[in-house]
Amino acid sequence: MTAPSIADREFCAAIRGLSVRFGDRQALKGVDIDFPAKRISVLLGRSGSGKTTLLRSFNRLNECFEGYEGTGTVKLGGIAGAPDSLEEVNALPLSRLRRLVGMVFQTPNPLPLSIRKNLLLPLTLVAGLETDEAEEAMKRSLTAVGLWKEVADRLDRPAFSLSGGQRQRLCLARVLALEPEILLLDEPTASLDRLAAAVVEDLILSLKGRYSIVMVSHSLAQAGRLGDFLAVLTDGRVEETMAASALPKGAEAEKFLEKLL
Amino acid sequence: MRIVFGSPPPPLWLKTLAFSIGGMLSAVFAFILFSALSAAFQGGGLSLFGPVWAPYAEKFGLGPMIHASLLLSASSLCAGWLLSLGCCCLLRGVGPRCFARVLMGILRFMTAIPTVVYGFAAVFALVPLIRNALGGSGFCWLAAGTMLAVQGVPTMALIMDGALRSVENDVFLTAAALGMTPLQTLSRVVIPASRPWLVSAAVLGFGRALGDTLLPTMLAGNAVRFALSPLDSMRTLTAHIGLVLSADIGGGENLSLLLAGGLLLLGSVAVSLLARRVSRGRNDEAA
Repeated sequence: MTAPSIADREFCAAIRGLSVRFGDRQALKGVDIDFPAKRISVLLGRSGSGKTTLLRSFNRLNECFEGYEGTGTVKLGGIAGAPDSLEEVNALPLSRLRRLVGMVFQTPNPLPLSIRKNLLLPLTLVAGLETDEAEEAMKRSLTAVGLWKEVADRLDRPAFSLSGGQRQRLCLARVLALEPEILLLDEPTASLDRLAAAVVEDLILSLKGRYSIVMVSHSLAQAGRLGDFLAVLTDGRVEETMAASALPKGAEAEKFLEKLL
Repeated sequence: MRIVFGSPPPPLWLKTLAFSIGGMLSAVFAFILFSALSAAFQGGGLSLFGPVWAPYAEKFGLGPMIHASLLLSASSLCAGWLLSLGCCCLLRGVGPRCFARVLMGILRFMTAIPTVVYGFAAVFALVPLIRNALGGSGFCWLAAGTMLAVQGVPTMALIMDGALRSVENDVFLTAAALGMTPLQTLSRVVIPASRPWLVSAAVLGFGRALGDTLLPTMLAGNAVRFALSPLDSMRTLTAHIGLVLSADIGGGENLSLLLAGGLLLLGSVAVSLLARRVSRGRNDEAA
């Protein structure tokens, strides 16, 4: 299979023959898949089906784990100089790749520092901004996730003083401040209560069109609400891909997806 | 004595043990403090806090020893704490992994070496080196301070390393996903977030440096004077207790020893209270 042409920036990622193993455990077995640009793609599958590993191959985070071995290519759009070309992830310096491919984890993971430092450290260290530019970027991204009013007067308090939902929005703000091309969301609402999850979901919807989003979800309902493009993984392989519009509507959709998983 | 809320009450033998150990410790502390107090009151005419130690003239001033103890423990703590932090950085990814493994082995091994071995080695290696390179007898503040610093490193470094390791485990993936390098993560996230433990390590190191008797006695020269240069000889409170106890002991000397013991105890208590306040202040800020 050849890499697709993306003259119109159809794709944000093209993955070919991706196999990943950690020691004895084969997490991905020859995955071929393309992800649309500026859309929300949702990865579905049982626990251990390789969703998170696939997501982490975008920003080479798998390499942080013991016993990692990988073959195959991961090419991303919009991360090299030319906006329309696909660039192999290994060709970029790691810090640049991870700045352009932002990730939000399942459990909100602020750094054990103040709210301000959580945003400023990556901006100054990774994006290389001056402090006053970074402060501006911090304010912009905190406003974008609706957190500015809640934290403006306590930026120097620890990030762990925030509630779960606030923490997750802080993590999203931290990633958005770095102006990424692609957002990776690893079950971003799984550890939140219903109300906080709804806020984060609305936020993700509001980002649609501006970023290419690839998201892991356990919830079929959520995939239906947010996704444009769905991919179902089973046992390290892509079982099925479909446009969300091709899903049957209503109660049928649940049954349809249930059968797939 | 309940340790964790909701855990079953501890058995009677454990309670008895805890109370008797607590009682014994309190008795020791009370004894030291009361005798120090009574010595201070009884020794009114002996100028116990004065600058002159001249038993033949009935002057038993502890001033030079207090000066020496503070100077020696503070200087060796500074050097030892920085060395320990440096070791931790080497252990946590600055420098090659095989080197870290060797360093860890050395640190663990060092905890098992008796203090007298450090002192012995220094008498035959460090003291002549100082004498030849810098002059003087070589038995001085510098020699004792260096060995106290080195001796304190393994304990402090292992405490710091435990804290840094656990913080690093929590943050390394997050920091990596943000594009931070391991070195940036260590210096900008892990070390700042471990501050309370770094302070605890310093308190422990200070307590040990203040309380150590053998190294100052063997290496610092023991002259009763206000040492100002690192090459000056000095006598610490602990060395003073050891020396006087092992030689002559009369009224004035006896009182000065009791007072010296009380001062050492108060010094350690003051530092640990201060450190507790510092780290609690940080936590309040952080909460």
